[in-house]
Amino acid sequence: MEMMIIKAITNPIFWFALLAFGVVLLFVGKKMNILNNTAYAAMVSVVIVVAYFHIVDHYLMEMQGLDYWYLFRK
Amino acid sequence: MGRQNGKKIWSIMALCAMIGFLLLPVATSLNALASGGGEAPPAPAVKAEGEKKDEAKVEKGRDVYYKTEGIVSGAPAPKTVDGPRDYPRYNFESRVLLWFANQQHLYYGSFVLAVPIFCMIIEFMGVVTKDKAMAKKYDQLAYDFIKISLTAYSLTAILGGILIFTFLTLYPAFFGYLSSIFRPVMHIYALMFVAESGTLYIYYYGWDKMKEGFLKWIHLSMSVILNVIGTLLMMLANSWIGFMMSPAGVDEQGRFLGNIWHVIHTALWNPLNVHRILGNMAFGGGVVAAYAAYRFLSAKTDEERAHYDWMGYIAMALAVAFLIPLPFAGYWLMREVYAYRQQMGITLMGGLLAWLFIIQATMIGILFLSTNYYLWQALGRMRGAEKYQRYIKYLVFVLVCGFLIFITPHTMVMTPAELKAMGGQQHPVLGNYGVMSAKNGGINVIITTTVLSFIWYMRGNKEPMVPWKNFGNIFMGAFFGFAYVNIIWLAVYGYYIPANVRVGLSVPQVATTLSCLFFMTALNGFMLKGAKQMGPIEWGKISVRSQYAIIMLATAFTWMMGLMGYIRSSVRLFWHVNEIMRDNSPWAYTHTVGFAANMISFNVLFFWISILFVFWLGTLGAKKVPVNVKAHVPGRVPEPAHGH
Amino acid sequence: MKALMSVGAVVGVIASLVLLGMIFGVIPASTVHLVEGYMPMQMLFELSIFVAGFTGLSYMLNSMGMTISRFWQGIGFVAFILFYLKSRIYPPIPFSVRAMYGTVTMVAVFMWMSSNEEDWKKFRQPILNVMDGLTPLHKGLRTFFLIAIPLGLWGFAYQSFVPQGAGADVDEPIELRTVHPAPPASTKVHGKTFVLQTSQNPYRANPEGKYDQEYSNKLIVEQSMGRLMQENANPWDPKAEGYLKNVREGGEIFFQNCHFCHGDNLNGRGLHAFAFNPIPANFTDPGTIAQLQETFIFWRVSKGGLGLPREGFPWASVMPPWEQHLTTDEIWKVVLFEYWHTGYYPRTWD
Repeated sequence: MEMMIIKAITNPIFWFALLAFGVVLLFVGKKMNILNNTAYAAMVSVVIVVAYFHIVDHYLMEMQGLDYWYLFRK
Repeated sequence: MGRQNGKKIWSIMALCAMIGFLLLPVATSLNALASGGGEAPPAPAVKAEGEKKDEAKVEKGRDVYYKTEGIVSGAPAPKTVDGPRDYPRYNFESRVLLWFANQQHLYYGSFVLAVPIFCMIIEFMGVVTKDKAMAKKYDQLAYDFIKISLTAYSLTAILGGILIFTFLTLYPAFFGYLSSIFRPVMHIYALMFVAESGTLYIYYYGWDKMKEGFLKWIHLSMSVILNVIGTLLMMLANSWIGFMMSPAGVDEQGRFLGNIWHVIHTALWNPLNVHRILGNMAFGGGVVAAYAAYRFLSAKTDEERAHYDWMGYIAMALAVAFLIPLPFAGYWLMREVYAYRQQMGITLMGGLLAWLFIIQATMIGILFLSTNYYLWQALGRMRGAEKYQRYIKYLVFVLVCGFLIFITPHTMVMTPAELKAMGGQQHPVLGNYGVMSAKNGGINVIITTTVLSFIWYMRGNKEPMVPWKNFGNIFMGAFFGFAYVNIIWLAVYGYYIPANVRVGLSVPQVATTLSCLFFMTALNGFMLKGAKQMGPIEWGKISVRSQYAIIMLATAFTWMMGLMGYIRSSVRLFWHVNEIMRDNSPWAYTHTVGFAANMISFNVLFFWISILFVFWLGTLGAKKVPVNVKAHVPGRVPEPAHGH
Repeated sequence: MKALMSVGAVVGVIASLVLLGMIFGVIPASTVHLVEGYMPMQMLFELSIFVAGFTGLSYMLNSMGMTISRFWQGIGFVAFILFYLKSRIYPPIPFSVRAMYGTVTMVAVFMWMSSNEEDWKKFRQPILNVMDGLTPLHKGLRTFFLIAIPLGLWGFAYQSFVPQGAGADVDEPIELRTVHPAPPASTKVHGKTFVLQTSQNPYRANPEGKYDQEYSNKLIVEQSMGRLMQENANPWDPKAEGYLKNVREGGEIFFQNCHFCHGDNLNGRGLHAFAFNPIPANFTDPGTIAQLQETFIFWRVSKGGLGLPREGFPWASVMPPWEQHLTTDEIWKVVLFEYWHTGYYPRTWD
C-alpha cells in the first residue's frame, strides 16, 4: 500500500493529472459562478499550486539528471 | 505624405551610413584579425615574426584549456624577477596604486555603460506613451540622464588613460605580455571606443533636432547602437580579465597558439559578461537614484521634490529589476569557476576568501532590505495603501529570518573560550545555517518577499475590479504561500540527501522564486486592468527616510562592487595569469580582510566625492532652464506657495 | 479575527511562561528540548510562535484598553530576541554571531517601527520628549542619560581590556580560521601523484571491481541520528567481501590510529580531543566531510597539519602527516570507513 502511494506521487503524471484536475475545477467553478466563493477558490488554488510546484521540482531536477524523489524511493 | 516618406527613407539611409562609417574601422581590423593579426604587423615586429616562423614550423603547442593543437606564434610568458626591470616602483605598494586606478575606472566605466541603457529604456517609454505630458516628462528624464553620463564619460576616458599608464610604468613585463597576446583585440577596443564616442555625441547633441516623428525613432535606434557598442567594449575588456583568471588559447608556457577566439572565449568569459552587464545596470540605477535622492533632500520647492521623487523611483525600479537576476548570474559564475578549477572555487567559498563572501552576503542582504524598505515607504505616498501597511511587520519578520540565515557564517568568529564552550568549530543549531542549502533557502525567501512587496506597491492605491478578483487574490495568496513552503522544504530536504543531488536543489528553488516574479506580477497586471483608483500617487509626499534608504542602497552597491572585484581579482593568488605567469613582485600575497575593507571603503568614498562633483557640474547647466524643469511635472495642480 | 488573535495571545503567554520557567529553573530545562537534527528549523519555528503570540497579546491588550506603546514594543522585542539567543540556544552562541543577530534585529525593529508615518511618530515621541526635557521627569532622565551613556561606554571599554576568565589570563586573540583550505591541484603520496579533481578511491568498488559510488551508497549506514546499519550489509560479518571488507579494514586502522583524537563516534571528541585547541574535526557534522570530495580527505590525512598550504595560515592543526605511518591503501580505507560510519556520501562534481 505504502509502496503504491510512493509510486504514485513520485510519478510526474500524477501531478499533471492533479494540475489538469485543478484547471477543470477552475472552469467548472467559472461556469457555475462559485469561483469567488472563498472555500472553493482556496481549494482550486491549492490544488493547482501544489501540483505546479511538484512539477517544477521534479522536472528541474530531472533536467540536471538528478532524482527529486531520492529520499522517498530509498 | 510623399514628402514624409521621402524624409523617412533619407533618415534610414543616413542612419545606415552612420553605422557603416562607425563600424568601418572595426570591420577592417576584423579582416586583419582573421589572419591572426599578422598580415601587416608594425615594422619592428616583422623581424621577430620572421624569426619565430622558422621555429614555428616544427613547434606545436597544446592549448591549456581547449586541448587543441596549435602552431606556437608568440613568446612564452616572461619569468619575472623582483627588481626595477620587471617591477619598477615608487616608494609605495604598486598593487594598491593599480587597484585604485582600476577601481575608479571600473566605477565610471560601468556608470557610463549603464546610463545609456536606461536612456534607451526611458526614451522608448516616452515614445510609446500616449499621454503627451508624460511622454515629455520621460523624454526630459532621459535627456537628464545622458547629460550626467556625458561628463562621466570623459572622466572614464581619463581614468582609462591613467590606468594604462599605471600598468605601463609599474607592471611593464606583465602588461607587455598581455598586450602581445591581445594586440588585435586592444586595437579593436580602441577603435570601438572612437565609435562609441561618435555615437554618443551625435545622440546627445542631436536630441533636440531629432525629437519629432520618424526622426525620433532614428534617434532611439541610435541609442540601441550606442548600447551595442558599449556592451561589446565591455565584453572585450572582460576577455582580458577572463584570460587572467582562466587562460586559454596559449600553451603551458603561455605561448600564443594563433587562435585569438580561444584567447577571448575563455572558460569564465561569458559568465563574467552576463554578471557584469547586470551588475553595471543595477549599479548605474543605484547611482542615478542616489543623485535623485540627493536632489530630493536638497530641494526647496514641492515641484522639485515631486520631480526627484519620481526620478528616484524610476531609477530605483530599474536598478531593482536588474538586481533580482544578479544573484543567479553570480551562481552561474561560481559554478563555472568550480567547473574550471575546484581549487579556485574552494579558495573563494570555503578557503582564504570565505570571509569576504560573508561580508558580501551581508551586503546583498542590505541591498534587498533597503529595497523593501523603500517600497514600504513608497506606500506612504498613496491613498488607500494603509491596508497593506498594517502587514509590513510580518514581511519584516520573514525577510529578517531569511537574512539571518543568509549571513550566518559557516566558520564563526569566536574567542578560544567560546570555542571550548561550544565544544567544536560547528554549532549544532547555527552551523546548519552556514551551509549552501540553507543559504539558498534564505536568499530565495528574501527575493520572494521583495516580489511580494513590489506587488503590494503596485496595488497600493488601486482596487481590482475584475469579476474574478476574489479568486485572483486567493490564488495569489496560495501561490506565494506554497512558494515559501517549497523553498523552505527544499532547503531542509537538502540535509537529507547526498551532496551531488543536493546541489541540484537550488535550481527548482530559483525556479520557484522566478515563478513568483513572472506569474504573479503578470496576474497582478491582469487583475489591475480597469482597477478603481483610490487616489493619485502624490509624488514628493514620500518620507525622508526612503531617500536615505536609496542612498544606502547606492552606497552598498558601490561597496559591493569594489568587494566583488577584489575577490575576483585576488582569487588568482600569486599569479598574474593563472598557472601561466607568476607574480614575483613583493606584493603577491593576499591582503588582510581589514586592509582590503579599508581600501574598498576608500575607493567608494573617492568615487562618491568625485561623482558628486559631476552631479554638481550637471546642476550648473540645468540652472539656465529652471522653468523647463517645472513645466515637466504633470499631474499636479499649482498650489499657492506656503512657508514651511 | 478576534478569535484568532486571542488564540495567539494565549499561545504567546504560555510560550513566554515556559521559556522563562525553563531558563530560571522553575520547570526542568528539558521541558521543550531542542530536538537534535531539527534544531535549525526548530529555532525558526519557535521564533515564529513567539512573534504570533506577541501579535495576539498586543492586540488583546489593546482591545482591553491597556495599550503598550510602540516605543516599548520595539525595545521589548529587541530585548526578547537578545535574551532568547543568549539563554535558549545551547551550546552558547559566540558573541560575534549574537552581535550580528542583535544588530539585524534592531534594524528590523527600526524598519517595523518606521514603516508608516504614524507609527514612526509614536515611536520617536518618547525619545524626543526626553531630548526636549520639558517636564521634570524628562529633564531628569535627560541628565541621567547624559551621565550614564559616557559612563557605560567607559565601562564597556574598560571591561574589554580587563583580563577575564579563570586565573585572570588575557584572552587569546580571535583567529579567523578557514576550516576547509583550498587543496592543491595534485598531491604526491608515497611517490605517486594523485590529481585531486579526478582521483578515485580504489576501494569504493562494486563486486566487478569498478569504482561505483551508487553501489557503496546503498550499503552505507542510514544517514540519520540513529545511524542504523543497512540490512545485510554488516562489515563485521566474517563473510563480508569487497567494499564491506574494505570498510572493516578501514575501521580497524581508524581505531588503531585515529579514534584517540577523532573519537569512537567520529564526532571529534576522542580521549585526547580536549587537549587540543581547536578540538579535532567532527566528521558527523554536515559541514565537514559531507561537504568535501574523497580526494580532499585523502590529501588532508596524508599531509596532516604540517602539509597545509601556506595560503591557509594561521593553521591550528596538529594532525600528523599520516603518509609517514600508513600506506596509501590504508589511507584510502580509512577514508572509506569515515564515510561509511557517518552515513555521508563524498561530494562529487557532476
